Amino acid sequence: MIPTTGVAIRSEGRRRLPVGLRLTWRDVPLLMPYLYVLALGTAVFVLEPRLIDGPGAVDARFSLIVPLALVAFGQTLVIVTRGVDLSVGGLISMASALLATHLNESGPLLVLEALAVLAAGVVVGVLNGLLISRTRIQPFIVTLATWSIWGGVAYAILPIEGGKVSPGLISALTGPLLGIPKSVLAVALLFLVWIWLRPSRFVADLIAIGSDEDRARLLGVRIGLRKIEAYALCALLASLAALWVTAQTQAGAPSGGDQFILNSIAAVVLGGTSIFGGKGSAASSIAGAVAFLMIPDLVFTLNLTSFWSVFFQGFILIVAVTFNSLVQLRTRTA
Amino acid sequence: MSGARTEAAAGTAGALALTGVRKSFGGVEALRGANLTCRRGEIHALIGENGAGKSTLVKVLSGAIQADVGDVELDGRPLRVRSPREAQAAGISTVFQELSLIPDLTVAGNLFYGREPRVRAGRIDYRALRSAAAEALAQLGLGWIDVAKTARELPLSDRQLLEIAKSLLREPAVLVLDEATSALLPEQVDWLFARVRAFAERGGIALFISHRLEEIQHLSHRVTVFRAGVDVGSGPIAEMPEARLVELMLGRRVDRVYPPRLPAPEGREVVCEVVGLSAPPTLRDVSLEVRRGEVLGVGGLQGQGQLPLFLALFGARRHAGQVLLERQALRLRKPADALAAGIALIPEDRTTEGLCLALSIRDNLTLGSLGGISRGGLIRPRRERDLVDSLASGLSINMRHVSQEVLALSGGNQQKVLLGRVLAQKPRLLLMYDATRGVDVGTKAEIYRLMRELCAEGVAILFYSTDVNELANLADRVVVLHDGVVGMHLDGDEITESNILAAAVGGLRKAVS
Repeated sequence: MIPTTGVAIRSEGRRRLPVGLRLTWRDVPLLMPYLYVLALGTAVFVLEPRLIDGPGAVDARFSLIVPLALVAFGQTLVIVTRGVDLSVGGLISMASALLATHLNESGPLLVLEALAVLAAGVVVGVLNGLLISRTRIQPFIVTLATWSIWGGVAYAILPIEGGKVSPGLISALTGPLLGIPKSVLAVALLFLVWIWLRPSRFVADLIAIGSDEDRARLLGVRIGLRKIEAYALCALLASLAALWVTAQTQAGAPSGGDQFILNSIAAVVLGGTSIFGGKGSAASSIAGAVAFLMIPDLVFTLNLTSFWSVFFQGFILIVAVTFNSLVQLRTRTA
Repeated sequence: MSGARTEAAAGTAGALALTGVRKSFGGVEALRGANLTCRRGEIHALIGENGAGKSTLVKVLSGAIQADVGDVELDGRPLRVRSPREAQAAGISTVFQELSLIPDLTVAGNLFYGREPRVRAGRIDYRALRSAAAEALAQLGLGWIDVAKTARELPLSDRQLLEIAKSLLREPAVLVLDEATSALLPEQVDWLFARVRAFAERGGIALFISHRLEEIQHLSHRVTVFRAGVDVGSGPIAEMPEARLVELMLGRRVDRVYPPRLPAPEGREVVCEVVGLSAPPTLRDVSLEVRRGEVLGVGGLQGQGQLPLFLALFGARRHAGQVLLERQALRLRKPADALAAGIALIPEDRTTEGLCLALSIRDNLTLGSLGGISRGGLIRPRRERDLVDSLASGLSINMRHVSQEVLALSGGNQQKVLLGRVLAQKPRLLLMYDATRGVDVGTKAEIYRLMRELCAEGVAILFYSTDVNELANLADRVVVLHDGVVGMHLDGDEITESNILAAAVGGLRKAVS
């Protein structure tokens, strides 16, 4: 009468491959950015090989990728919880202004000062997280306000582009290390950090929160704490991006951070992370950033004006989002 | 595994005892001094009509809400749970009616969330987790569920099985199953019963809440019946035949004012004919006809397909089957199609689905019929005023002015505004989905009167209610849904509370035929 094996109560039967060999539709959006990188890279290489294998070309490409990859990494953590962080723009501007005005030439004091800027970033992130988890105001609104606030502070510190960037900082973050450009190492390091972080309790909790906050609460997830951690990490990574940009451009820019807001969200979305939370990968976002930044190269090789960069960036974004949305509709069961 | 009932269990002392539990929500008492005693090794069934307080009791027990007054004891020790986490720590595990799985986590992640087998430096060993989950599921006889899939990707029945498995794996002292069989296939119900029996034989307490009398008769040792927030009877299942259970569930009730029925609608023309309507997974195959000027009551336990039926007829739910309105086949693909055909809906939740709370009474009343009062895309103030005045006076809405926000009105008055908007649309078929829920008695009487007036004007009404008393006294005919099909059709003298209830639980056959 009563089945002792599961066979009799199976509601649907399908053969399956062992875990690890399977590719479900669900994973496809997170793999697409690698395909975009491959396709765009091939196109650029065929049309203008010098952009890829010319002298210093790789370092130049990756130097642009590093800050966007950093911000996109942090943005992924926030977006997975079903939030968004617009304040990275104001924060990067503020950090950049600080770095261009308050830094020593070199030495141990320089390290301390750089750390202080990073710590300030964490404080800013904690503030975001506190406001969002305590007041339940939409993350969009909270970070819209803090973006504006820190952007204003940036102008107070450094009213016009320029300032003086410490040579110590510049030499620490540019050039090669052991023959490999530091920019390439930085991107590789970010990938490794994600591989390490991916199976953590922290990321599992972020996914649970983004997937269904009420049920996550039923499971005993500390929602407030996790959100604060996510926004703090996002802000820390944005401060690191500021450090990098300031060293690369050798100048402070009081509105230089703003471009990172939408670009980071674009990179995350291209990476296949769902803006409805519950699903995402920082590694895919980094690949998304790489693809996003290859478009200006492609436009250059095609001898088009730079207007077309923005046009094609918007175009690839809408194609990617449409594709991911169709996949999502397919995988959702009734 | 034998299905024999462990009478040995009767010897042990009461292990779980709830006494004098009270809980009210905004002045409405859901529990009014409820008691429940379960022994170790016992499968205890909890039954009662919708709104009798079963679910509230379960929520108190599982820590989702806290009782206002009352004691809970487990094995002689007082128990005070303030959160689901504390309840689980105390050994109470609940299979919730609304499943508590995280949609985007895998089966393995859900099964052991927070208790993963191997965690080092805050990092979960997913390989170990997957194999532990696969092993645990295999032992429970659910080895075919793919542990790497996300909960979202599983069919509803598998999600329910997983939810049950998750609770069983915690090895609780008390296992609460709140409508745990509602989404299961028959063979899966057998699986669950076997598990619950094994759990009870090991000394666990299983609290089994179900609407299905057959299941209760089949599985449980003892049963407690709830009505209107208190326990009205309890005893061994052998001493509680179905007829006695139904009688206890119904009890005696305050009579309400119902308007007289119109002359029998026999021979009247059919306004709406539904043939073989289905909307998976719950609505399977419903055919019915609604005649001019009649109230066709729809009964049945919650979740037997009533909601998909109403949504499908309103074009808000994908469906298969035919809907004919005055002999014309309709294609109902969106609510606008239904409205254009003359089908209007009073939805379940007036505040989120029916009204625009921040708008005025006037705007809400005219929202569905702006075409009739405007010209060239502009609203004509005089026509608007006339319409609003006639609706507001006909409905006797208690208000200061028509420019008042709907938000500030009482529930009953809000419902009248919604009714007014629908009346302005002049529907041929009116769908009312539990339209009197949470409405005071006075307003209910007015809604009944309005329904009769509409009937006199020739409108056909399809009327679903969770209140059996209301169905029995208001409807001209009643169809009772069971498992997504019309389980019974009641006409004339057959329309009694006990017949509706019996048909709903599927336990009794038609008394008059």
